[in-house]
Amino acid sequence: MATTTATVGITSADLTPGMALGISATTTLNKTGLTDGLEIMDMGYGTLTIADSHKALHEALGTVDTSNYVYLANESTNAEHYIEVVLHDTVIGRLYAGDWMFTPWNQSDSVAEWSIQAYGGACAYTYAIFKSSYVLPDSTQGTLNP
Amino acid sequence: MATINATLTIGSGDLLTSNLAFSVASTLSKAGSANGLTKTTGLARTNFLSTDPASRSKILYRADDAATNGSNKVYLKNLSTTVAEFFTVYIDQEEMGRLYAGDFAFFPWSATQGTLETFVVTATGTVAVGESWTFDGITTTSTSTAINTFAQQVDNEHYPNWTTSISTAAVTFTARHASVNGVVTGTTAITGDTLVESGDGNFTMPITSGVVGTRSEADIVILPSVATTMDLEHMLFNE
Repeated sequence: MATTTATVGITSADLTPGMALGISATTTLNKTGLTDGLEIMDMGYGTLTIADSHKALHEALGTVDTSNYVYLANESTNAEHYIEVVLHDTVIGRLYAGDWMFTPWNQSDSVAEWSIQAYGGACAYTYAIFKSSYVLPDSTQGTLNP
Repeated sequence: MATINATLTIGSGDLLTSNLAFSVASTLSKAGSANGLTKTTGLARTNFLSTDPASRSKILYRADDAATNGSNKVYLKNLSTTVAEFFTVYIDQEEMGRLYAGDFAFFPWSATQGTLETFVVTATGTVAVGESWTFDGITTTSTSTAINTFAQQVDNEHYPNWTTSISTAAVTFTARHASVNGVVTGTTAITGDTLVESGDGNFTMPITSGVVGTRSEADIVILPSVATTMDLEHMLFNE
């Protein structure tokens, strides 16, 4: 059992006059409804070009309705370059240069995959996905030793 | 222009053989710009109480509340301390994930809006004092025999689901939220409004034109897992 913590901090001294904003929240990434930590993780780095269509960041190959977490960041430094983030066929939002997201993902059904596409220009991205379970996709080679 | 900083730190000493530790920081800016976001709902705490059926699920933020395809950001946190309790987060009909006790989320939101339904109702004929017209639960009773004055009275009301504007005797109703309100289909009125007039048939309130609305497809809907009280902390940063 691993212990992985995530902490978010959101601050602003001037968003709301007279009331500085100071959100700080920490959570431990646990298995579904338990206090046991998640033990499966993917992490990576890549680049999307604007010639790319939507690319699957991760397919929903785990167990339905479990605890999973998705981290994604747009590493571009050009303010006009953004990554469109889609869950299944619903546009969630746009990650502009430097933006990041951290969200739960319960893999509600087999088509609940995350996909991403770059607009405005190429976008480098980093991601990490913490999972309750994962099933490798079938090999395209089928059975090699019948 | 405000400066809003958001940071995320993820760490683990035992998930991998190598220490996991990374951190990312961003400044929340408007779409395609270095100018900071300036609008927010403010930090809020919402209770989901079992005794109120309407609170079994809530529309936390309507796409109407933010700019479509803006650089909007949403923060959510489940304040429950019971590990098995969770909120399910939906974007419209899409089930995104479950926030278990103590979990938080921070994500961009495109806030794809629908269109607001609108129609024009025109006070027509001769109105008598005491005649009335009811729509959206609001009854307007004429205090004058001037048709334009009655139209002005209709426009002065505050409707739960509509806003109004006026031009002479024509009052334009615009839905407060993007949706298929069912008042008009195309330009054909199907409203269930009620006209009470003196019986001479001179006073009518016909809908003279209208455009059907379309629903938003990005409202953020929250569903608690249990029929007991649960609290959610949330904040929207938007353009």
